[in-house]
Amino acid sequence: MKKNNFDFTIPQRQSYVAILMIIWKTYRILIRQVFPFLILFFVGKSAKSNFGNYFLYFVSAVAVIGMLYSIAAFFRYYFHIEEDKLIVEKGIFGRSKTIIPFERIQTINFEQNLAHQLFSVLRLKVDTAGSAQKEFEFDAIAKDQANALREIILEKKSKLQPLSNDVVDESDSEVIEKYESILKLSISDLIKVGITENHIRSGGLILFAMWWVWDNLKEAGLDPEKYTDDIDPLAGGLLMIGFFIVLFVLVSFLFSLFRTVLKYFGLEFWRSKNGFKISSGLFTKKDTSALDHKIQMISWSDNLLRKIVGYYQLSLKQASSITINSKSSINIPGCRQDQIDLVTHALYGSKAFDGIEMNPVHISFMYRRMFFTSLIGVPAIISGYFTGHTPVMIIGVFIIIYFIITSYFRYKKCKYGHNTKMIMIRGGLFGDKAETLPIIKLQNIEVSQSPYQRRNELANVKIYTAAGSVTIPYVEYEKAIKLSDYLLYKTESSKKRWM
Amino acid sequence: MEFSNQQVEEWELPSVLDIKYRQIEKKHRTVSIIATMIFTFIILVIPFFINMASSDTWFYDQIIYILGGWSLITGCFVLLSFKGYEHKGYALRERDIIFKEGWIWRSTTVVPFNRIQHTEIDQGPIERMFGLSKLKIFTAGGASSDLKIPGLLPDTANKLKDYIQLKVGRDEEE
Repeated sequence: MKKNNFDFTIPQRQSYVAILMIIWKTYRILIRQVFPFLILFFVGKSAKSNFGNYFLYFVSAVAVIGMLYSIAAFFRYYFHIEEDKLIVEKGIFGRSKTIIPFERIQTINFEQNLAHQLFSVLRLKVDTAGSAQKEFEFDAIAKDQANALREIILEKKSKLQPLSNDVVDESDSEVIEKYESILKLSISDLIKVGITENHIRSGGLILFAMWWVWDNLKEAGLDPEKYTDDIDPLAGGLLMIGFFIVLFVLVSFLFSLFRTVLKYFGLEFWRSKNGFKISSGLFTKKDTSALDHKIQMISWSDNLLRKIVGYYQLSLKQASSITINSKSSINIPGCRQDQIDLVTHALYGSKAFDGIEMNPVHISFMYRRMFFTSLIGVPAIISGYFTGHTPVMIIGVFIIIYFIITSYFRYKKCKYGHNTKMIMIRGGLFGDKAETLPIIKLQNIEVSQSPYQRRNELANVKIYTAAGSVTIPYVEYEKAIKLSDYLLYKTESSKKRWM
Repeated sequence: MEFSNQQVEEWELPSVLDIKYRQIEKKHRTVSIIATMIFTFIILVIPFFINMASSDTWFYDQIIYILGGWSLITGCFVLLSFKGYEHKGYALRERDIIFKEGWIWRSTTVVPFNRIQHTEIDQGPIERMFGLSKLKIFTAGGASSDLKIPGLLPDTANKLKDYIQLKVGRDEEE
């Protein structure tokens, strides 16, 4: 390696490609922030007012400012190495200096999306440990430079280790370790995973996209309703409706298959000495690691289709420093039961789930759910009745039947239990879902009651962890209190760190 | 590390049921009613401005219904914050802090000291006028789970904060 070509002691900028990445990132944040207004704008605007123009000016102004901001941010972003610390200086108006001692660095991950690959740069993510945890990333730095940087940090870090005896087991660098492959998805596995995806969700996404386009067409003065006016979908006959349904199902199916292949192409899942690592992606190859002590919750689920093939989606939920987002958990589709066992045994020991007695929740959970969700179908029935559209009424009836059936399944599958170490919560609709967490990962606990629950001495128990929360609904109040007392006792008497 | 793992029978565990809660300051009731009114007033004003911007008159045309609906909602919210005060209470135990709230929907949250990341004392503008403080307790459980105890005298808030800090510190030493 030509690591001597780079002198990291001099403050330097990232690769110029980073400007693009920062602009992209800024725009994404901006769009996400103004998203609700955008919807409001597109949905609730009357065509004649000037409001639209002002809005357009406003958007362009924000876009220009965003771009200038991003460029400035790039030129004001420096990093260098000082002895055994990585130092990052940034900030357009106020300068901020972040110092990261090498010993705190847990993992260094590279990530490349299509744009990165084009310019042969990478995104470098540094993951640090400690209570004042902070993750940060370089948006784009040249490939060989990144490699050199990683090498220097790891080399110096390994020299540092003998000094800090107490953290040796934690600060083992990930590169030195051997990885043991747990799972590798072949192309045929991948296709199976894609076929067994939740197509209803994909269908929902497509519907949303269609609604979006429809609305935009209206905005542009092309009212699609004009063209479809003569075609009464209800008069078109069952054949027509059937055709559209089949087409829609097919599109949803292809869409979810396509998404799966894009996301999980070449997926490999490894066990390292103190964590897990997953790498996947067709265009954006992504490496994610999860360290044992950061994992707060493990869950796995299947659906009707996956049940046939025997696949679960396994999810390791990690504590994240900034906010809880899906980015910090790793998801592995196409796991079989023995791979799940492998993971839980590695993390919790082979007897972790012994002696857990699963309790059902109270039956009024089902009745209440049936009642409230069925209300959604009532307007359809009423409006169908008064306007004389029988199909609308039938849809309403189907909605009610659907919710009655699903409420039954939800109730049947919702079970909770614990032993002296672990909590397990099962649920699911047509598939099954299990969520497991060590009791000591609990951050706080909430017992809540609605007026109905109070009259019937029931309560919901919500357990918060650093990687999200789980709720046990409709537990008898006395049991809920006992459960919360026990979990608190375990948490408060344990000296084990939750992270 | 010494290890002990005695069996504990469930009826021996300290229970949240036996707790005597301390009420927060009565002035908090006024504070929360004022805050509610301001909030609902803003809700009333936003459609007014939207209406101005779009040069329509629907806001004025429907003013009776809008005001009627608005006062109904405001009345409910005010009642909620009025009654809500009576149900807010906190309690300290050796190893955790408990906060309960809610008049219609009730909830009790327990935060163990050994999970607290940091604490903060906060004073909003209305609270400042009434000389009240709010104690915020942060865990890693995410923003929605952070405990906020309103309606404390600044002195009490400081004492609570110090107590918690002491407990958290002791925990970390162990």
